[in-house]
Amino acid sequence: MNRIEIDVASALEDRRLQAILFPALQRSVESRDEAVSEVENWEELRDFGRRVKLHTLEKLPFYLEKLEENVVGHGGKVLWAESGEDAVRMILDIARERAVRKVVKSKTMLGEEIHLNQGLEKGGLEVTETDLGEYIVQLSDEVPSHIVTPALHKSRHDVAELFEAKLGMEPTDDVAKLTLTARKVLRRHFLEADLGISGVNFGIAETGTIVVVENEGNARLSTSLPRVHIALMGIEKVIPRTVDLSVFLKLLTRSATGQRITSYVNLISGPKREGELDGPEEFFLILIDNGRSQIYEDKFLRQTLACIRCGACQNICPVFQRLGGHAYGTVYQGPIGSILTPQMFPIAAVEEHPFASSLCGACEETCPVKIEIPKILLRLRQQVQEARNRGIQRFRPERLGMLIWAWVVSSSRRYGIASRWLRRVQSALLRNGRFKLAVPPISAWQKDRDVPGLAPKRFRDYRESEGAEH
Amino acid sequence: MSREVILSRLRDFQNREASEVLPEVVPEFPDFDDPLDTFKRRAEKAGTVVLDGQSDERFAAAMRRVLEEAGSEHLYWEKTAIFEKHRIPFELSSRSQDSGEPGVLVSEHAEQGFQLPVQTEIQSLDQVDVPGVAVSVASAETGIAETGTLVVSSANSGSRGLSVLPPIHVILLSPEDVLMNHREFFQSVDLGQYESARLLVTGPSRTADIEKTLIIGVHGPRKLFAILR
Amino acid sequence: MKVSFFSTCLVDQLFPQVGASAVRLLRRLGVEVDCDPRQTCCGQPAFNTGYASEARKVASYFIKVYRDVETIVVPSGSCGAMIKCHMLEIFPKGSPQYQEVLAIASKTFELSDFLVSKLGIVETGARFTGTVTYHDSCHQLRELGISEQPRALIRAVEGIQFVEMKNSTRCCGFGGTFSVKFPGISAELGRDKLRWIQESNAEYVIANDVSCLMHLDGLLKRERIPVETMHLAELLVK
Repeated sequence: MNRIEIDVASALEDRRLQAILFPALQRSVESRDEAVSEVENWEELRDFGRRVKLHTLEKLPFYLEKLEENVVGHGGKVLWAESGEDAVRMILDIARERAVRKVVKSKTMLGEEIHLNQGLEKGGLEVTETDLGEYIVQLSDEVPSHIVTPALHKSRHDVAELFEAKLGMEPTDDVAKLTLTARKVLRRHFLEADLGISGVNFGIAETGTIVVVENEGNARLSTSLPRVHIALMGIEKVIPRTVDLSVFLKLLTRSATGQRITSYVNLISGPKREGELDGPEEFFLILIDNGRSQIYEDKFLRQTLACIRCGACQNICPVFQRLGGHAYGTVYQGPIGSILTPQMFPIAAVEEHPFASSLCGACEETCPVKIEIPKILLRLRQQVQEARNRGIQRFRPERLGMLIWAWVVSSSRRYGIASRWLRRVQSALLRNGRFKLAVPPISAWQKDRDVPGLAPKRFRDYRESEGAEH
Repeated sequence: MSREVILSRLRDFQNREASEVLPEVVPEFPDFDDPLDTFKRRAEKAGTVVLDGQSDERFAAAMRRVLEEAGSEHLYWEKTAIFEKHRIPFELSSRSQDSGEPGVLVSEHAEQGFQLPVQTEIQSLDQVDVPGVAVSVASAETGIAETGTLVVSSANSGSRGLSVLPPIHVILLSPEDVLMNHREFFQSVDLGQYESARLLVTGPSRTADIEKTLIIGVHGPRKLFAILR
Repeated sequence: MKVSFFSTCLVDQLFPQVGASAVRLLRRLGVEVDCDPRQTCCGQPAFNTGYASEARKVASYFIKVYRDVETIVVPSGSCGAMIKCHMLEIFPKGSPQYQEVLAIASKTFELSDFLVSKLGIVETGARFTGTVTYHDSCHQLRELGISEQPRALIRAVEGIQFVEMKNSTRCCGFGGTFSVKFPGISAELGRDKLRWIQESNAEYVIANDVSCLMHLDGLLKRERIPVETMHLAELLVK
């Protein structure tokens, strides 16, 4: 698998992106903070959410089976897909058997993960994204740049240009007009679609109910008007009881968009019932693994699967605030992306990602289910280095440097000798107390900062450091 | 079989001793002295227009306001059961029944000078000019004060699609059906017992997908009325 | 009260005056301070870069030096967090070193936390007329939960003007290894900080970590912005 590199340069040089990103993400952070400050027992809710998730993960087979039993009890069908390709194939089979031509989709990151749209289009289906942000991203042939706001990287002018080119719309700066155009265009798709595909925020095991959270109404329409509804759910999204949902909804909506609650929360229990006027005749729940059972292996790393996809970690991460989502080159981006992706793919393919963090910890602090992201990143960094300790890479300069450093620093005698020697050498490299020769890692630092040299005298040699007996 | 592969893989890595216990006690959710008032204020904060319809006069005034907003008289009531539940003060004359049109009733309330064409009792959505419906009216099963939320159920509402497609949506709520908070709601509700879909509705449809600018009325209604009756 | 002072390798090699100030301060407050000349480093550079066995080697040496002392004081939030929160992760549970690390972690204190929480001191007798602002170092803030203590100490300095800057809790961008692997972003984040420092109109920016200060100072000097950086210890001995 090819290495996915983080494209820092393009992101930092993109002035349009830089102008949009930080202000937009700051606003998200502010509204999240306001919504959270209203909740007196927020920490208690986080704690509860984390414990429920960890418990559920511990008994995952049990809860998945319970969910399946109850969905089937409502007349729904449950399919299990080991890989993303399997899931796409299953959907194509279902579609073929039912003469499905047109598909409407509501927002699902899992759909992005398994490259659903490409798979369906290859199979001859017409797929339309109905979430406004996803629709914009689809029209411009891109991938989402944020979990909650997929078109975050686009300005209104970008959208206007896009709609002018693809929809023949008059150019305008008016966001309301742009939105209304999308509404008009997508209406037809809702009414004509044969199949609606949605994601799942939570699957309630106790009642066989799937929960889909939204603001636009497109998920309600996508899951109600077409005659078949397929819901895609990662196996980690199951929760035990209905009452657990009260806490998770509160954690999710306030963290994701700073709302007390989203405009709509869909609670779907199977296909349409006898006597109901509309609704899908058939309901499929596809439980997808796609690498999640691999993450499940390690008890500590397993908490990665507690994620409820709120995107709050992306909003607060200083690195994400400068890079935006696309630079990461992966489906999941930012803090959650940097812990998920290296665990779902061979780590050699995403070696950079665990290091694309200053480990500031703001992500963990904001995470509604308290995932220990920095600690996981540190663990993944160890995995990266261990993976490199094979073959010729064993002699990489960074590792040799670390070996020497560790050897020197674990003895005060060697450390003292090295300190003295470095000071002698450095006087040839310094000017006015600052390095004049660009040597890595100093060269990296020096590009933007003045870097201090070693102090002429170590603290150890100061009068103050004379102490009592040891 | 994928199912067996996935389950057995998970079981292989399950820990022998379960250490994470499912917490029995759910954290506190807020209580309010006047839940109905809190419901009203929070619903309004979310963009819902809350109208009092507890007297016949006020109800008629509320409906008139709705129709003005819609600029249309094509109104879809989801089920006649609503009339009973909320004691709608209409005398229904079904003069259209002879014409063979699917259940278009005209309600007249002579004293209020109120005439309200009402379409109901449809057997299938094919009988409705769906894109042409300007207003749909449903009945809420419950209200939740904590967030100003209305809960509708496909078991006693009419059409899922028509709850969201028309630009104006009206939900009738009985004041005694207002619950305090989400914990109370989710502890008491029996999901999937009778209905295939419940919907929690809080305010009109919205999006902030373009430059995080809030726009009301994307795919769903641009205006949501809650009438207390 | 007797403590052993762990200067940290950055202070020892690059900013010895910070160490000197801290020791002077503690002694002025009546604390008996010992500086073990054998001390070197806590192992954080290796640990953060994913070299667990190298980190273990250095941490083992650290344990050897400090296993018998009563109290350790560190003028750094990030090294404090390494000792108190992360050293445990590189030794297997049940190993003798694991127990020792547990013990060391519980007797290690970051300087401002030691002064305020342990000694109960807020007024150090320092006098300084200047407008200062404070930068919350990430490890100290989020891993050690320290944010009130340094502020209380700063406010108690006679004559001082303390202004909070916008986003004081946002990472300065140094991140150790991060500054080497992602230098562009590291610098951008630092420059964001410079903006907010300037907006606060402070003449000095104070922090408890020389890594943050070195990074900010380097950027300030390169951009020729006349704001000085100062470690809390240096301020408190004024």
